[in-house]
Amino acid sequence: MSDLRKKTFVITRFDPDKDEVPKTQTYQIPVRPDWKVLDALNFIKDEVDGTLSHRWSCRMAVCGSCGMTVNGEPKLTCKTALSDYGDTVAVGPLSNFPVIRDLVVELEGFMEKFKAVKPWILRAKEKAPEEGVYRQSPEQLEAFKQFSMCINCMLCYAACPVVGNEPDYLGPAAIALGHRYNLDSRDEGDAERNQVFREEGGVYSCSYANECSEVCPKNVDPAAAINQAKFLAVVDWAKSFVSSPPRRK
Amino acid sequence: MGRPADPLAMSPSRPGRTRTAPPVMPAEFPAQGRYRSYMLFGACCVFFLLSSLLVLRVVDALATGPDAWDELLRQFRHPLYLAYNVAALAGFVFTARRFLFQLFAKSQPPRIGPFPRPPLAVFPPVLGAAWLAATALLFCILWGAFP
Repeated sequence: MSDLRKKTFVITRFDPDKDEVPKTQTYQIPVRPDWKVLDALNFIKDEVDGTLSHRWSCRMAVCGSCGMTVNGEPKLTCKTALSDYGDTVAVGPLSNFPVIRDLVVELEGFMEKFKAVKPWILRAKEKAPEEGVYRQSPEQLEAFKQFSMCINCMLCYAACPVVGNEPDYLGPAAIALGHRYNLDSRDEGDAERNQVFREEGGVYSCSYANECSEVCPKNVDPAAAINQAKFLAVVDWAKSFVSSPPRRK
Repeated sequence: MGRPADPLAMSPSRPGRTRTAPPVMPAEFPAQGRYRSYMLFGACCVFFLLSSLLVLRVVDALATGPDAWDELLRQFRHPLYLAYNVAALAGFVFTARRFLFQLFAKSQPPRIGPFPRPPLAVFPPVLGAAWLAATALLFCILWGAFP
């Protein structure tokens, strides 16, 4: 127990039944050197204050549930070492999201934006099962693999200044995922998605702060996806005047 | 906590049953820490606007005649114009550096028609060489190296 050291946590609290606006509460707890921020939150929840609400699941940076603002920066708390911070650590909910309670944010708006880009394979005509699977070469996979690594942690939405100013903006993760399917050799729905991308709140709302890519814990680089999607959406629009490739519409 | 975000940011299209606290912008937005470079990038558009207006003025002077052109050159020697040129040059270099060396390469899709994208590592040296070549060419022209 000699390696325990005390740290102060300033945590944003909000109870929808009592509070008009979020407030902060301070906890001083003993922490181990190898703890992540999530370990400290779980300690507070289990040992100090059972009313604290936060979201978490896998504890290994895969599920994307535990995204929070740590000392002003969006972080996956299960991946963020406490040793990277000083004696005081401020933990709040993700910026740009409505807060349901304490550190838990509203996800419905995010899910609606995801659905808007149709993040699944669209085909003009589905193959019959007896015709076999859709084949894809390693090179074709490589074209979009990076953008398929997103774990929907929403850190990119919390870091993006456009998200907080333009409620209609699709946002980094949704566009990266739509772009991922546009690059997929098995997909034929790029015209539909590019239509969504070109609309108000689509890819052209991005003013390239690049913060989405800076905070992404999986190196998805959503800023690259968005700016590639801008280019391809224009090419798609221009091509629509001269040809009509095989598409679902 | 940051300043308030748009009240509808990331809200569902239909309000849920639970009352929520309104969203807030990232704490450092707009001009602190990691957002400073982004805001400077956006602010540099002022130089593009003003310089575009200056180009129009130059064209107007050329179209009007030699006297107007001489008067324009005289005005351009004013310290305020010189100070503006220095600031605009800094802004253009900053914008070009951020655009060419941070945005341009990764904005290229994996394939453009039948052509695959060159490796990302190729872009900075090629763009850097092109930038240096263009700068050298411009210097030569201004120096009067070409008759």
